[in-house]
Amino acid sequence: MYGVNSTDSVDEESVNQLFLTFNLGDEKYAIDILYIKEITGMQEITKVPNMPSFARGVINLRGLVIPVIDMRTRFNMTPKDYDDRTCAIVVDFDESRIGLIVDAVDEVIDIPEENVSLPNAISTSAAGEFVKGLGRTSDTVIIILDVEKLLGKHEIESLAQVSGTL
Amino acid sequence: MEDFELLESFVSESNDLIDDVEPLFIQLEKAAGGDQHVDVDVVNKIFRLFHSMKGSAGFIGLNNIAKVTHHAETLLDAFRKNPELPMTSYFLEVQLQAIDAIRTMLENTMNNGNDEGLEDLRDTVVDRLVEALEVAEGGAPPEEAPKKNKETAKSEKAAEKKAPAESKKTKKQEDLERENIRKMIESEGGSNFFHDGLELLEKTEECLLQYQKADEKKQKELVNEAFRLLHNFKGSCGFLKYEDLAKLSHAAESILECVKSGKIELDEQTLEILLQAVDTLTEGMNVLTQNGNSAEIPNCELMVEFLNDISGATPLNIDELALPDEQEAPAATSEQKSEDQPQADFDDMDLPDDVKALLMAEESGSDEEDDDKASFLTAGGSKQSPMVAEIRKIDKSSQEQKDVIPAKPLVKTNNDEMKKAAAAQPPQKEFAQTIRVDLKRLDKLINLVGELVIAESMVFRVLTELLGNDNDLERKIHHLQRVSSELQDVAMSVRMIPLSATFKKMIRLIHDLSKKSSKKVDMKLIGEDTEVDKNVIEQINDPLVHIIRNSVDHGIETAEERIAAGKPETGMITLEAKHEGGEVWISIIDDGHGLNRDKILGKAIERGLVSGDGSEMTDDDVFQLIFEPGFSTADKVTDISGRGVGMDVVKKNIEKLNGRIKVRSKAGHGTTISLRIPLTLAIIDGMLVKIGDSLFTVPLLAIRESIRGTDDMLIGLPDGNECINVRHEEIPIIKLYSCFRRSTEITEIKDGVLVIVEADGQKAALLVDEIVGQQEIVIKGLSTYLGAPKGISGCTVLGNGEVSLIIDISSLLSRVS
Repeated sequence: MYGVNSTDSVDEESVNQLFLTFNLGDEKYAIDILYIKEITGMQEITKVPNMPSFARGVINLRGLVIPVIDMRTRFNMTPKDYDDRTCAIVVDFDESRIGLIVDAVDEVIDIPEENVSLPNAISTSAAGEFVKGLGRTSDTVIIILDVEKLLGKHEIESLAQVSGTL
Repeated sequence: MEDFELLESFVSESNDLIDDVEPLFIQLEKAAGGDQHVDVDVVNKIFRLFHSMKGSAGFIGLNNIAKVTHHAETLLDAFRKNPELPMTSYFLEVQLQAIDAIRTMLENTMNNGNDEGLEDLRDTVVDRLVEALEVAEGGAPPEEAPKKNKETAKSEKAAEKKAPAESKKTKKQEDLERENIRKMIESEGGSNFFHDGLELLEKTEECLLQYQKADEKKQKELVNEAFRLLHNFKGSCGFLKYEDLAKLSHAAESILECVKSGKIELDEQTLEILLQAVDTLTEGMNVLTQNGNSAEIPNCELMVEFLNDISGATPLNIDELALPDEQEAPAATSEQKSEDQPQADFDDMDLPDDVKALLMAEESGSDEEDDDKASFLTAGGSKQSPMVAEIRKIDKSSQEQKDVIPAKPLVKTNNDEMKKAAAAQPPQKEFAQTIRVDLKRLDKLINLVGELVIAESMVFRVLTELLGNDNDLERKIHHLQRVSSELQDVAMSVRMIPLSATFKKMIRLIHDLSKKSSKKVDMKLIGEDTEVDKNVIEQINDPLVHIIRNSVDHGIETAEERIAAGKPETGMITLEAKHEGGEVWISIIDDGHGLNRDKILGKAIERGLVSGDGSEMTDDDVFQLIFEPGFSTADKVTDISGRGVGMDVVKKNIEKLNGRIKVRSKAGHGTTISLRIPLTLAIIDGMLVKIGDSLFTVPLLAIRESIRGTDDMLIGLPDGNECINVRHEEIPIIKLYSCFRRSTEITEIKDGVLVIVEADGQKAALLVDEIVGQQEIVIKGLSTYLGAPKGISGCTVLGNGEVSLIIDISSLLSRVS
């Protein structure tokens, strides 16, 4: 499964290096698989007023109401209409469950630590501050996102500020 | 920390004990105030609390707590020795201070795992306790003591002189009352004890049973664990003075202690005996449940003796555990008897000592006591253990010449006696069986039940669409709905807790307040068994404190004023709780001088809260003004109240619970403040309104009326806002579509519906497209990630799976103002 082979101990170690990749526009991003709860197709979003534009609203995930964030808007990319490939990656972070809306999910890959370089020169893109590293695979480079920063406390505070000003 | 669990249970147990004992102190003082002398029973009870807490604290290594409890105990001892010494307020204050200090330490313990760092507090309290002890022992209070203390000490002395001569006419009555309070407190302690005790015994049994299968390392752990469990059990028994249980558990504990220290080996037989002892203890506990107050175990002493033979320990003197240096334990006499028994017969047999002892007991039919012992061993454990049977076999073969009285008839008598005793004493009280459940699991259960109700209505909608009006279907739907709504009720009731602990805290509060304000105030509790949701318990404490503060400070008059008004000198505050139509009503009733309508109105007009002279306002409306933030009619701010903050807190907290406050007051007769809180918080009645293509939910409680607006009702304000004139009242209009940025075709008030809502005494008309309907909704929080968006308090999932946001009226309105 997931292209990981051989013995148990190797498996255990490589869980730390497993990532889910997804597409936003032309770029490929990755999230540490340990955060991910499930992937769900798009459903009707209930808008919540007085929230920053990227916080699209809430969805009903089998009785659990969770907020969803539009990653395109989050990274200041041009919005795109949702289609049947659009989906929400549901992550568990800091006791809340949050959906991240992406263009499409791609695959689960194994990026060994030695193939990850630190993001020193990436500050041009809006996503820059959320980048944890760059992962090299045989054919491409994947942007590994820092979930802590993406959903972390200062983000919530900035949300509160935005909603407070309205 | 390894023993964190132990620590945790110590802290929670101690807190419970303190809560139970605090009212006792106040009761003691009352007795002293009435020139009664101290009720030794009550003092003993408090003494036992401190003593057992001291023991446990020392055991766990909480030295500060141990020290404070030690000194508190010493001071109490003075009262025990000299029952003539009245418990004056001076001593009471010192003791209460000690209790507070212990509380602080317990809290610290909970947070840090130990009670270090509070040495200063400890020293202060200990100093005061020592000082008080000197006073109690006949010295005048030390010079540096505040003057007030001197006075109380003096009056105490006077009381002391009077005490012997005091008339006994009211004593009986007082005793009766005291007895009742004690019983009330005790029965509660007893019920906790019962559940905890059985749990401890069960765990002990489990440890013992696992022992044989375990490896060596594990065995050691198990013995330690069993030892700890039994020790805890013994402590509780000693505290509640169940002598037999304490003695027996002590004996069993001693054996384990020997095993721990390697003195004896825990072989199969010893294990069997221990298990039997645990069985007997469990049985004793069951007797206790049926019987309510006594936990006598038939033949307990023999069992104890027998166990002690194994461990070589001395029997436990219950009074040493609970009441040192008091009278001799009645059981202690049988201590060494077994030494006199014919031992020689068995000494040459190749058997372990304990079996010899057992055999000895079996064999000596001529000796009644030992025969009892033997029969007890068969009777004590409900089933005869193989070991005993085996021993009896040996017994028979080797001791035929002896005239053995068969054990069987004796067993029968014992059982009969027990039955008779049980029949003669009709069960006084049955403790409800409970289990402890993780709160998270309960919440999950409640959530799931909520989900179920939603899912159910989804299915019905689809079914009715498919099948149309089918009578049979409808009947079945009704049936299912009944079941699921009952399930919901049950799930909700699981979170219900009686108010008694919260109410009891108020006794102390009243005491402190009456001291501070030098007014005489008494308190009465009614319906403290009433159960409310756990959330309510958490939210209700502060409001009660504030209301009671106000009642004492502003409501109750001074003793002179009361006498002049022809009222009893002591003011009375009644705390009452009851269920009333889906709500719980908690009322605080004082018999003070009541609210002053004119004064409140005057102040309100002065502050611009009321326009005009307010003469057309109802009393109810006027009295509601006291809940306005910063509103106070007090001429001066005392250290109890008067800043106008308290009642605001009351209102905020009660609103959080979706509750209402009713105030009734009659000049000269007192005030009743009634807090009316819905029983469940998770489900409210909501009105579904449509804005554009979204559905919002407005809590029904906030809605006053709904109207169709017309243009001629509209008043445009210079700042661009609009008001609507409803029966000569100008109500600001909030257009929800613009507030919540929804697109809709209905932007004029004449096209939509105006829902008039009220919160915090402020009204507003919400413009919505249409009203969809009214339904019960299960409230869900919005994700913590989103925080609390203004104007939204949560959300709910509708029957079709759609999410509807719940409008937070009060935050919406505060935005307008």
